[in-house]
Amino acid sequence: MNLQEAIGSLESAIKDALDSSLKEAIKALEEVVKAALLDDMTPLGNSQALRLAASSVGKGEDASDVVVFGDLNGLKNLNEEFGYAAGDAAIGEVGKLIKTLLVEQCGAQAFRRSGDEFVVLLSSRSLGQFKDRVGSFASCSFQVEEETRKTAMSFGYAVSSGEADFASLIARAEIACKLAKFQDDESCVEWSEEIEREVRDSSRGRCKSCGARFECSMPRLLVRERRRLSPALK
Amino acid sequence: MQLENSYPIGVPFRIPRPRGENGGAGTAVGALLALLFTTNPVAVLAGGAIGDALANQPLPLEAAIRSYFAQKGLPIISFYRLGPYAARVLFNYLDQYWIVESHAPQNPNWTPENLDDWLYGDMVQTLEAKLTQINRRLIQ
Repeated sequence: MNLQEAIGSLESAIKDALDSSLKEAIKALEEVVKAALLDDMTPLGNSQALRLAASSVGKGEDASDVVVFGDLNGLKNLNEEFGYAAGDAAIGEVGKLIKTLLVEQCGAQAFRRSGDEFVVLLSSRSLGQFKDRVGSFASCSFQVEEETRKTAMSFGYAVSSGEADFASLIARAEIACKLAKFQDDESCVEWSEEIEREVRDSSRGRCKSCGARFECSMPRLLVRERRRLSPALK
Repeated sequence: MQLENSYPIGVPFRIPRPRGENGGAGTAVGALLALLFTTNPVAVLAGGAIGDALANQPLPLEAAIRSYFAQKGLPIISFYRLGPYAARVLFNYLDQYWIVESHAPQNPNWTPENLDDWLYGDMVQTLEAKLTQINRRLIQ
C-alpha cells in the first residue's frame, strides 16, 4: 500500500466513523427532544408540551377546541395524613387514568401542568365521550404498599367559539373546575356566561336575586384567581 | 478505578453507579445529558445509554437510579433525596405503588461520589429484594 492509498483508506475510515457517530447523535437528540416534553410523574405531556399544543387550540377543523382543567381534591390532606408518597401516588394514578380514559379512548391530548393540575385538550366532537368517562374520576382507589388510598378529581371545561384564546379558555376552565369542587352531584362543570355572571355578582358580596350578603368567601377567591390567571377577563 | 476500596472501611460493598469506558469529548456530552435527564424516565433510558457510551463519568444518583428502574420497566413516580445519606423511590409495579429506601451508614470518610455510588448499589439491591417479596405475595 502506497502513501496515497493509506491516506485514502484513513479518510474513508474517519468518514465512516463520523457518519456513524453523527447518526447516533441525531438519534439521541431526537430522544432528548421527545423526552423533554414528557412528564416525570405521569405518562402525560409536561407543561412545555402543553405550551406547544396550546398554540393550535381553536385553530382549524381538526384542532382541539375544548380546554379541560382538572385538579385533585384534597391532595393536601392526603399528603398530611399519609405522607408525600401517597400524594405523589395519587398524581401518578390519576395520570394513568387520564391516559387510559381520555387520551386513548377519547383521542384527547393530556398534560400535567404542575403539581396536581392537569390540562386536557380535546375536540368538541369527543365531548360526549369525555363526559361519559368523567364519573370514573369521582373516586379513584389506589394502593401504596398494599394500603388502599383514595383520591378524586374535579374538572371544569371551556369550549372555544373562536373568539377566546387559549389563556382565556384555560382561565375559564379553571373557574369552572373550582365551582365543580363545591358541587356534590357533579365533578365536571362547563364554563358559561352565567357562571361568569355569578362569579361577578357574588364578588360584589350580594345575591343578585334577593340582595342578601354572601357569607361564603369562595366566590371572591375565584375572582382573585381569575384575575391572576387572565387579566383579559377582568 | 478501585471502587471496592473506595468506600470507607467497615462499610459493606455495594455495586457503584455504572461508568462508560470512553473519555474525551464524550465526558462533557454525557455530563450534560445526565443533567438533562435527572427527572424524566424515558430520557433516562436514552441518557443512560448515551452516558454509558460517551462518558466516563457516572450519572448523578437520581439519573442512575431512574435509568436502572427504566431498564427494568418500572415507572418511577418520585425520587426523594432524604439528605446526603439516604434516598427514597416511589415506583409503580403490578398496578400498585411501592417504596424503596436506602440509608447509608454514618461515616466521616464518605465523599459525595462514593456515597452516591453506595446509595445506588444499595437501592438496586433493596429493589431486587423488594420485587422478590412483592412477587411472592402477589403473584404466587
